[in-house]
Amino acid sequence: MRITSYGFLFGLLPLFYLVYWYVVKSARARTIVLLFLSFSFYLLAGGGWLLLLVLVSFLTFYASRTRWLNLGIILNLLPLLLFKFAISLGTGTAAEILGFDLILPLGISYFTFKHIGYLIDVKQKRIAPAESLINFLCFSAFFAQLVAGPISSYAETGPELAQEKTLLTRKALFQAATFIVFGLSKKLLLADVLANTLTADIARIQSASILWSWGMLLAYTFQIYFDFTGYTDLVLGIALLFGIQLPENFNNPLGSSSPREFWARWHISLSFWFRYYVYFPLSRSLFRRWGKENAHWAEYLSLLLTMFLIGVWHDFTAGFVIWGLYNGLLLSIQSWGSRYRIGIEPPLLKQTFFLVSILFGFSFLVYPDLHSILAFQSGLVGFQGWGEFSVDPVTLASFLISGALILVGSTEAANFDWPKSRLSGLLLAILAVLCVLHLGNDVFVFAYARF
Amino acid sequence: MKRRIILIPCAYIAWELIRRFPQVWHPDRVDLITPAISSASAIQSNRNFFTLVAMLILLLTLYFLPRDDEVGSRSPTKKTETPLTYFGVGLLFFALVIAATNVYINPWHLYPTNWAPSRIENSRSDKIQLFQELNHAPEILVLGTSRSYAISASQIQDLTGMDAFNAAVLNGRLIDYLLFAQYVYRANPESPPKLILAEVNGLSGLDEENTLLNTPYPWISFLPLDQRFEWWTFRVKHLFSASQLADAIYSIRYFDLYSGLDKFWEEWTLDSSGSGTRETTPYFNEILENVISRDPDVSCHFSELSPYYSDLIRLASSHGTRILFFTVPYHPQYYSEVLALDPDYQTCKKLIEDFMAKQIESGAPVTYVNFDQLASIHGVDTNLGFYDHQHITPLNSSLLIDALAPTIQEQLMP
Repeated sequence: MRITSYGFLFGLLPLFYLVYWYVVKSARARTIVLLFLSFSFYLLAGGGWLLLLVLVSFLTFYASRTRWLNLGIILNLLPLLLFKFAISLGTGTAAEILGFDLILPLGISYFTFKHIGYLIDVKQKRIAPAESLINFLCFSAFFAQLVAGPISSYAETGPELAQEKTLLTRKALFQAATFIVFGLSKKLLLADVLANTLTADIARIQSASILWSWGMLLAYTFQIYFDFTGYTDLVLGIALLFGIQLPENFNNPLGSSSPREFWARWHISLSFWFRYYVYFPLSRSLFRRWGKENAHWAEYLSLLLTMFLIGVWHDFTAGFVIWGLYNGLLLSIQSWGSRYRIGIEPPLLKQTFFLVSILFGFSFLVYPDLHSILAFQSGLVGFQGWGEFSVDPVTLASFLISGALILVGSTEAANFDWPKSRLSGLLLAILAVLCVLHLGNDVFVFAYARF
Repeated sequence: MKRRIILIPCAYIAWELIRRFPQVWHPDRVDLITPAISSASAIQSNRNFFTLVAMLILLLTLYFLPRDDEVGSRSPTKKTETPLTYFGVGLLFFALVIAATNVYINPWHLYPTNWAPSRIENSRSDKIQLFQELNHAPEILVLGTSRSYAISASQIQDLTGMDAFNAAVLNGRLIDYLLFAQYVYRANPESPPKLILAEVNGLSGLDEENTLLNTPYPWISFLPLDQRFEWWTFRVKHLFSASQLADAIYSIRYFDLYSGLDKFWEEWTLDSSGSGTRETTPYFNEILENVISRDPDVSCHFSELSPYYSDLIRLASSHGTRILFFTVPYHPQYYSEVLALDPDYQTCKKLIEDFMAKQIESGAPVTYVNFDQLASIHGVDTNLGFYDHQHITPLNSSLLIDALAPTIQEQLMP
């Protein structure tokens, strides 16, 4: 079961919504309902590793109440690393060793990051250990953010899960609906249309002209972005239905004008996690070792290592590793430029230059093998001529809409206030129905669900 | 000012919709509604039309929604009730209109309504209707796929003196055999068929999607519980299917043309005993060459099918019915250039023979005759005998029954 399936949207979700708000009344009972929903969703979504999720959640909960916090962190990291490593060997090899097909447990990265963040916060006394096991389990397994985040901290989500809630106001309900409809629209009307084009055309790498390559790269970037921001809006809206506010994950990153700004707006919860739990401790440690006069080198190295880890977390493939290092390099260059007050003027040129460099970074991810990546990049720099890039009108429309939304800065549902006119209420209703019509088509799996 | 950028894609989509509208709604585009070949692209074109409409609505919604940073400068806050009511009522209204259209027009025969002529026909429903119109309970029942469609029930009747009915269905799967047989047994509990002639085909898999789409309502009580649940959810889901809506729109728009179209898929015409015929094609050789030149790989699905064959045998034997399994011949050129060279086909043949031998050995009321090579029925290999590489005409069907006649008579002996 997927979050975009009829079974979830029109079966499980309304059922649990009714039970959550109208059948049970106490905060504790509601948390139990939410936990039950989360476990049911995990199992139905193909989460055969529910036991693993429960086990590491138990371990984390009890580790946080003892002095074995570091052990808790290691025990959390271990399954993630093992699975990622085994899968990087190739499913065939892993299956040969283990005797069965290995797939990454659903949401393993996201609950692992939440647990590690929680343990570090407890260790550094930023928060007190969780008091209720049920509450902690619910935080770990909360279905809305289980598949692909956003990664929230216990300090943010824990209290929300535990507190007494009053029935949703009409405004809150409407906001939730707005988030869900926008999320579905971005996924079904933009990301999936572009994914269709990519699926059909991506194999034409041998004739990668400059226009075709940049067209494909733009399609890939828009597709990944609108797929993930669509997913985020959808889960934010679903969480709102249960009176829980999850953190934002995007803020129009492709409208940024510097690498640092981009990473403050792209996959915000992951960037925050790595900044807070990897980059800061790493740079502090290097700074202490190397001294003030080498502080800038400590910063560059920390940036490179952090971005390398982000790349490796996505996948152990050459493309992702180089993409991570490339972004680390961009961030280091920006830092170096700030140090010597070197910048690009005017702002439009700076923005264009940055956009091209960030798009070029994505070119490392379009193909799984290095040979194709290099062929694609040779197309990008024009080694294979100008060529042509033609798309059908629906794809062209999705390109135009994506571009317009980025330029206007209307890419996230959180950018909007709730509808206040009859017309916008009506338009939202029509949009919702048209999205449901598109649910019947083959909906692509959310791109970030595989990490 | 910046917000107006949204109007650029709006204008493009509006222009594209205007440009496309005649393609969707033009009475001269008869080619769009002729069955089978051109329909897929037409439906896709209609679905794209919906996608463009949805994109336009998305842009308009974004254009009219106040942004967080503009709230103060816009019109004074209105009560939440009004837009929420418009949203709720609008959502219900549009959803109901779409669902009602899909149910009322019912272009895929998913619901019990039958108001408009449909482009897609369900041969199972048609055969059930013909079966219900029979005066006598059939004593011989033919189960099979479109390859057995042309078998003449009247010829079997003449041969045996017993009432026969051809219950073969288009795109038939083994689950259809089982469901039709159960339906017949339930309809005539006092006089079950004495003999079932069942076509054997190890090359077509189970195809659950086909079962969900085509199983008519009178059969669902025979489906296993999980498939029954899926059957219902499939129909509920398709209340809001864009493809079905696209078909429904065609059905409404081209009502007259649809009514005039031949009723059956690939222009099959059925007689009252369920036997179908269609016109022979003058392009027979080209069709045959085309199929062979593609050198299609065949896959054997018999392993997954054998439990269903066993179920059918058990069902028949519990009602005292004998089963004569037979294979329909392929065109000899197709057989020699594709099937004879395909190890999967040869394995399949062996699996079927072994299975049948085991059934006969165990005393099951079963006989098996393999006629996959045309020579075994002394058939005709031109377009008089074949519609294409695997569908036989009434002429070859008649020769097939002649070849089967001794076995049929043997099976009917007391």
